[in-house]
Amino acid sequence: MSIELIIFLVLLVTGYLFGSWNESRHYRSLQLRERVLNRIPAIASKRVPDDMQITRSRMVTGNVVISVDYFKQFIAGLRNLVGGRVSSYESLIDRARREAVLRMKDEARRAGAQMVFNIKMETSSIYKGRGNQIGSVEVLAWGTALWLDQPQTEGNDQNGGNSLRQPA
Amino acid sequence: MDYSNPDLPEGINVSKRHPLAELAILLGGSLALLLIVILLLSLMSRTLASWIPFPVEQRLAEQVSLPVALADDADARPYQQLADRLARHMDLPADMSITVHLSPSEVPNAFATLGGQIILHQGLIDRVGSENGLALVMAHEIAHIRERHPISSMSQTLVIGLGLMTVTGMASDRMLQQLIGMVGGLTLLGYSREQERAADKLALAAVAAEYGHIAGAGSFFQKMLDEHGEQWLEFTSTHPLTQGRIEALEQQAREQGWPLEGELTALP
Repeated sequence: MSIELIIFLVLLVTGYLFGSWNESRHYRSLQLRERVLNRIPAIASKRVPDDMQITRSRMVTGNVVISVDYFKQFIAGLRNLVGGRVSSYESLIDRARREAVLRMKDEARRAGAQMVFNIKMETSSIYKGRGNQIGSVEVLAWGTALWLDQPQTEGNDQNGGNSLRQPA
Repeated sequence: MDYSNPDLPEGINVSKRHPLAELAILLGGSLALLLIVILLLSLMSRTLASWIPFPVEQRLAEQVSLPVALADDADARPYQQLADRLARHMDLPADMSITVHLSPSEVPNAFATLGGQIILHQGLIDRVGSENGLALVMAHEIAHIRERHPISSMSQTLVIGLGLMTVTGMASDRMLQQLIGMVGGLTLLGYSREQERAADKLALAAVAAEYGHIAGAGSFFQKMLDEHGEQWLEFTSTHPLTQGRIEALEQQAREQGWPLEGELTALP
């Protein structure tokens, strides 16, 4: 009993420390990259306005898998008993969604597109239904990257985004 | 048409509460709830267990092996007769019967378990000095059986064990077997102070009724308390002995006017 308790506590503390460290690091990186990629609008609308001159279009996707840590899973397990917002998973899904959209936009940027239309997202869990396994969440975002005829604002073309990898 | 994505404010899709605060609230709440549920269950099981018919308890006891080696039943016969004599004064239900087993163990101890069985250690018989002293211990164990203490205690232990196993997710066939083994081994059976006092009271009344006095009986506990040492450890751990218990016995004797002195009967 006691050895199981010790293992449990070690897992919980490890999960919390590494989990929250990873999460804050990820959020910092997300905010930075979102600012840079903000110049590529991602629009949920399906219909492209008639006055838009589109020269090319292509599908772009962004995919990410993020693992749940033991701490988050434990809290969510307790939440199961009483119901309510599973706040420990909220940030996880938030991160996964934003990361997937960013990767999709980054693909569009590297291909030289100006915007992404008709974006969709799909979430699925890995390890679903496998008892006590630590689960992971997968988010796939996809959309139609568009190349527009009229010149957009400055610095929007193929060469513009090379500095993205290491934002200042 | 000009499209652009606004700068969204940070943290609009997540709860603000700190994860550790969340943990404290959830863990504290569920532990408190758990405690209350288990407490209720154990109280219920203790109360309800006395409604289990005695023959059912006997059948249950047959499936459980006793934790001690037993001497031949023929050797236990004189003590069985003593138990039967005492039981006549104790107003047992019609379907209840007492079986005395003798154990060759040198550790002075005696205990009542499931199915109306009393296990008497040779070490206790060697030390009591007179039949009167032994009768008090015997009547005390019979009183436990009459009051259904063994089955209540077992039910309570089982229910608490099962409850803990269920919530910790450790419930499995193997764990259940272990739990039943532990309860069946009766090493866990303990009685509350109230149960001990109730048994004392019934026991002293039975001894007084059998012998007409309580000589040798009351002094037995006192002797044990004086000698309180390693050799009595097992007996005192299953029968927590306090000065208060002895005083309660003496007071009962005074109130009932039972003679404190009388002729001692030799051991059978």
